[in-house]
Amino acid sequence: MSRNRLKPTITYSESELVMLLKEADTNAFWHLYHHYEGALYQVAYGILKDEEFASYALHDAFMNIWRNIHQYDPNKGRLFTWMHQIIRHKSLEILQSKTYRESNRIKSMTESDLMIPLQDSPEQSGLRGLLQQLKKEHRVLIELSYFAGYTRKEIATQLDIPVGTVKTRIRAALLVLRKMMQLF
Amino acid sequence: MNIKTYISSGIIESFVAGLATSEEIAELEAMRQEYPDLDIAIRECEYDMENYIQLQRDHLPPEKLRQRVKQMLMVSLEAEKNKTPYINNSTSYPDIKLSPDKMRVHIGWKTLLIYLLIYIAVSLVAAAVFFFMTLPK
Repeated sequence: MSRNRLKPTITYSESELVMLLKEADTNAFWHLYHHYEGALYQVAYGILKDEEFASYALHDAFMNIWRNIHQYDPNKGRLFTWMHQIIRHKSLEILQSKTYRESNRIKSMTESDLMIPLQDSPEQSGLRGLLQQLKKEHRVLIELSYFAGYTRKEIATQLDIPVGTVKTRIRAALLVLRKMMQLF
Repeated sequence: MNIKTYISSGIIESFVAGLATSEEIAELEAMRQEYPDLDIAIRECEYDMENYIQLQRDHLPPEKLRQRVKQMLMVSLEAEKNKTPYINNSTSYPDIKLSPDKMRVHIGWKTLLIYLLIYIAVSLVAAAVFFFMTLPK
């Protein structure tokens, strides 16, 4: 039996985690990092479409989280929403930077950039498999709003729909998503 | 404003995704204090977003980049730890702030120095005049 198996896995509630982070507890920081690394990286990658730049964004975002945890107010929202805003902001900052622009890697969102491919794949099961059944128009709206870092105006241009309807379309897509997640 | 219409307008989803304008955010933050239904709807939407994005958590950066990010974070955390006393303004690094009183004392010294310099200059001129006047003809 390996040593790691004997090592107990510490789990924290969100409030415990926040409290420990505010006390500058590095164990809590690494727990947070391992729990959210993948999710936040995907948000950065969705915006930057580049593994290296997305990794830099991930580093900077986690350092911002560490430094500014005192500014996080649980009454104003979940910890993840706050961290999502930080990684989104950091990624958009990199997107507008000279270094990124000079690397000439800006490209528009295509089907291949979607986090969950549109095509059905037989090996996908569970919730991810269920999400495969989301209509393409709904999936694109969710991905554009959660991952691509576009403004509502840019989403409207991308999908060729009026800016005024972007808000309601995103809501409609997310309501379908919620129903599917509840079914699971 | 009808709160149900407001909730179904799509503002919550835009807010949670980070697409809302600062005016919309201010309005929503003020209204959630007043309407518990709105607050619940925001929390539900946040929960959904977290669950959805967490589905992608297995899509990690390539291992080499992952290790680099971890290394960089370790170095950055260490650097932060070392500069903590400065940030916290601990007693070993006294905070020096000039109060208006101290500023007045400072200006007083400056004036005294100017007077002293003038006095030295006048004395030198007087000494030179005296020297030339006493020179044997």
